[in-house]
Amino acid sequence: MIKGFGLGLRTDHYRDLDTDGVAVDWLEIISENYMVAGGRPLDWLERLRARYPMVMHGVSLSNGGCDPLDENYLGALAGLAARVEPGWISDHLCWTGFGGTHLHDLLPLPYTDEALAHVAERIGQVQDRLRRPLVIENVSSYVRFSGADLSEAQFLRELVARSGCELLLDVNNVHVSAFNHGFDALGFLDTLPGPAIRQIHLAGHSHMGDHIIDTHDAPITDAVFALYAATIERFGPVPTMIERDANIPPLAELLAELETARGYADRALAEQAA
Amino acid sequence: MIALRDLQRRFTRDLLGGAPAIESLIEDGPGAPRGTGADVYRHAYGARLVEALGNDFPVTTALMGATGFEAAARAYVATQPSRHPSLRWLGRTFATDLDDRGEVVAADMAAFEWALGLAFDAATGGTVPVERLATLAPEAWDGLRPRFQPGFGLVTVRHDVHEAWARFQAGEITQPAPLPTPVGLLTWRAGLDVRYRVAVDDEVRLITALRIGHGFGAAVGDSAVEPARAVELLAGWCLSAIVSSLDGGDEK
Repeated sequence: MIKGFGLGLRTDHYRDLDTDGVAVDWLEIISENYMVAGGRPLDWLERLRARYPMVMHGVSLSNGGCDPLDENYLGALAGLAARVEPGWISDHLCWTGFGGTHLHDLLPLPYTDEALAHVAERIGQVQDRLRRPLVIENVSSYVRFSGADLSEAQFLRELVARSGCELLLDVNNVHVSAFNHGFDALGFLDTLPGPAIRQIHLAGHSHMGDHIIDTHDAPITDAVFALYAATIERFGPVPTMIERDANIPPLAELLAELETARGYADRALAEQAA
Repeated sequence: MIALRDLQRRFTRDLLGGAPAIESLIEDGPGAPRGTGADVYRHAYGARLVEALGNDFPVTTALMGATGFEAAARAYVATQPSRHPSLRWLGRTFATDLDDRGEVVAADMAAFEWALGLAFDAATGGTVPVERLATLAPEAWDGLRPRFQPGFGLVTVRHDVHEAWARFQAGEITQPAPLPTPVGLLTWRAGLDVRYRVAVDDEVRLITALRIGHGFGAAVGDSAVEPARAVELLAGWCLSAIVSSLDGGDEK
């Protein structure tokens, strides 16, 4: 049972996490980092799995891609899931390559009826293969395609309805995309199907003046924490974690930031109760 | 609205260095023109791949310098875009590409670092106690098939990159020196620890013959290694956990 506050597992923190009494309720692993045959990555994974519940988070499924789903990748993902027994498996609402070339980026989709039907069908195939609901994350985006039929939030809501997938709500990504595309972040939240939200991501970003880039290399901003509080007020105590991918600080620093998140969540829940 | 497949094709061609196409697919943002967002993706594509190669080839990066390495990495991904969902495999032919570009020292180091990486996360193999050799029936030796550890590598280099690699681990960056003749470097993992050492000439020949698929007897013949010496080499491989199993080794 995954609940409370977690961290993304990074190699820098292996040893510190492999001790008693660390104030982390669960860990999220990047699936691809452990889709290897053996050695230290899997040794650390097993040691830390014995201490913490885990969820799996992928970056290469390409739910929105037009290339066929990669059976080898899905097989490796299923194999890792059998080893980890994760609370859930997530990936992104995006495409990551075309024509056999992998671009290794979370590329945005046009929010059209065609794309919705396409992604819903592919998620259905993945869910059949993994025999569990897939948890889908909203991405940060820097372009908005012409001719959209839906907003991003409407697209996610319809995707949940059609495919039965669940949602990983990245609050930082909502903030970033809202700034870049000029939509109302609270309105975005209000459009989402609350019961489908399984997990929340928090992360830092880089403000470039006229646009924001989702860099995961800095502390979470006050604006994102405020949006997080609004998220908890709406959706309750959804399991929440911090994603830090660059400029990785000592574990103690991330634990302090996680404590800040706990404080925002506690106050939001208290206000909700009042 | 352009079809999803056409959109992804045009977007991909743009990111791979083709004619700019993304701007024709998107709208201006409220604060930034559409080119700004397109450039975020263009920049991120190359930067991410260069970073991934840098992570896999840290000593090669140090030898070439950041600027030189980035130029080589960008040239590589321009001709060898990623064909695997994991960045783990992006650098599979980087050493060959460096060699083709005349960067022979960097190519040797990259080949060595790649081999170490293959050993690092290869499947875990078994070990063979050296005492097992004494239990083999005499008639079993001809068909004996020693299996090397998963991820075992034999890399031929023209420079002492293994020495430079070791010095780098100690915090020192030095250029590898040319070797009088190429040498073979063995790379493998014992338990969780990645190991390497220089192979001697007859050892290279015997390993090469065994990896072709020959049984021990044929491999000894093909490699022109004295049988007693071959047994000595095999015993050494057992002791250092280079060999993970002995197939066809019926006991007395």
